Amino acid sequence: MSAGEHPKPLNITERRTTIEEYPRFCEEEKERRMNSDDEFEEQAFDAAVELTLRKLEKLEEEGWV
Amino acid sequence: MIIQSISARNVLKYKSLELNDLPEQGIIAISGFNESGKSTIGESICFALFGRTFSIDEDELDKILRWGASDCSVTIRFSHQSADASEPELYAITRMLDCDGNHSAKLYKVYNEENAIARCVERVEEALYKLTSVEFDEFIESFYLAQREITTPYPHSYALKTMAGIATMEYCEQNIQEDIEQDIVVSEELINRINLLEEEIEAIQLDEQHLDKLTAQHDQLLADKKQIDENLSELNSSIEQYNTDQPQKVAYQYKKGRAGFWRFISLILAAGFLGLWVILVKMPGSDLFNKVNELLQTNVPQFTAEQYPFLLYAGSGFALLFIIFWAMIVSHKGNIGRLDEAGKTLAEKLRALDSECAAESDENKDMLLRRIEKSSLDTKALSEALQADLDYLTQEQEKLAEQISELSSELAIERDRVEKVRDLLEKVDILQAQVDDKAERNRIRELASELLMGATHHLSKRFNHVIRDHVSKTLPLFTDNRYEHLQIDEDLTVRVFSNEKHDFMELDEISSGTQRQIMLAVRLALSQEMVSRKVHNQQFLILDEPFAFFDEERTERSLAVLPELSDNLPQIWIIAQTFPEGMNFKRTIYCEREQVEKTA
Repeated sequence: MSAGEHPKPLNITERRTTIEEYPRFCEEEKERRMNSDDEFEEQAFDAAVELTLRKLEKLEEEGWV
Repeated sequence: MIIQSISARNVLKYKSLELNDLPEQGIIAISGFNESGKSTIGESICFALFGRTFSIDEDELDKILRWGASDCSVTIRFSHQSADASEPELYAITRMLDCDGNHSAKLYKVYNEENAIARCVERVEEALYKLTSVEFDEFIESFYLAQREITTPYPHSYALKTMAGIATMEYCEQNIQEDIEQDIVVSEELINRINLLEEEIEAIQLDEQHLDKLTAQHDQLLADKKQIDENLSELNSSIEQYNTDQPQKVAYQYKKGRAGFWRFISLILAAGFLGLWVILVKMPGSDLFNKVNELLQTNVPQFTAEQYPFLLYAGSGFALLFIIFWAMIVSHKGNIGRLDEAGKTLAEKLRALDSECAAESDENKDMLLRRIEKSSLDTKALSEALQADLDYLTQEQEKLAEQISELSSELAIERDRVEKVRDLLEKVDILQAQVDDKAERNRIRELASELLMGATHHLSKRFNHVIRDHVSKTLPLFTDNRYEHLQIDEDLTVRVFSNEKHDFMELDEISSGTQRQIMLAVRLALSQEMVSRKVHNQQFLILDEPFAFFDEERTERSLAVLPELSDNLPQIWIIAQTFPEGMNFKRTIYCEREQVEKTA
């Protein structure tokens, strides 16, 4: 995983915040999309959330502290 | 982190700087004219903690050294309460630097200097971060506000994103975008390979029906040849059978002829002897008897009446011979009939062939077939008669074999071409499946990216609300109640609500002095948020000439409110050329241009 424009490691506090906040946001977003008139593809949505969470967990495993 | 003391040697302007017993709460006021060394105090703290200052980067650290000095050092003592401690502890950090670039640092507890928490620059940096949760960028963004920096915070700064809780998300989103771009590049390569394969397929110019046609032709030729082979084989077999049976039939015919002859002789003799016996024995005294008896007496005088029974015996014997020859004839007829089958079969085969004999006309052919049917043609004549047919069939057989051979070669080439196209199509399918898979993955990634951006936007908005709430407490004081509320966009563009105009205004619509006041409020809000979100501890704050554009009355009001800003920001260092008269600070430090040794 390239550090790119983020030469510095992330700190624990923010990571925790992100890992807590992201699924919460996604749950609300899913509910919103499911109840909207737009076409909603639940499987793709869940896969996207899962993909992101895996990446966030990987960041944690890489010890970006 | 609250600063307790500073002890510096040969740092920037000062040959010696000693600030002891610093108040843990309230304002520490540092005043003096330009070039008097006010900012050096703040920069000394910054250098001690992080090994660099706001204005001097790591690669130009020699500028930290006082002019003419070969080395410098700085030690600051600070109190800090760890999360698991019941009360604050005293720590110290010492940093040394010489003109050769040798840089060292040590972090330790004041009353346990021997057992340092960390030694050397890198480890001290890590240990300090572990202890305080503050990094250099966050420090200068939030707790060390140099005068020139009291402007709109850089919206893309890492520290700010960290505070808002979006740095990880942005990093993650960037990472997903990289994955997307990477897969797009790979997909393009795959599509290029597909195009090349398709060009290769196109170049083969395969007619999908051609192989089927060739196969059908080949099968037909094989069937034709098989038929000819069978016909030829059957014909040869029939000829062979004919050649075996025909002489036998002739022999049986001869035997039948001989048997017929002897049967006739036997019949005559049997009839003669029996007739004679009947006349002589059964018809005595009759004219016929007299004539026969007279004839016998004349020609065969020794034949007497005692010998008449022999006439019966002889007649019966010849009758028996007649029957035997008759039976033999019947038997020969049967054999001849059986042997005739070979001729009939051969004739049938020849008719079935429906082939033309080059040498003979149809009429001759029919006559020939009839003779064959009756097996009246001898083997030599048959051989001569059928040679043309056999030659024709053999030629046809060879011709077909040649055609089959040519077609087999063509078929093999065509099969290779078809196989090659099939292989290429399989490769295209595999590559296309990879392209589709990557497209599907990228679709999910795009959605993930969209969600991350949504979450980022959501958290940014929430963060901005928090900052806005903090600002609303200080802004009226800084602006003499002319401005109370801010609107902070996602990119930290600030608009301010004017109580006079009852509307939001862009920053460039208001005076630069007021802009500075607003931005100071924003910066202080960020400091508060940084403390509450990350530090979770008491923290000092350095403001370098924050009131440069404030009038005296507003400066006084601001100075009065700053210590009340936050319980977590109790120690506030304020650097200014002058302060309003009559202000009471917890500590006042006055700097003079010529003074190189400072103790307070």
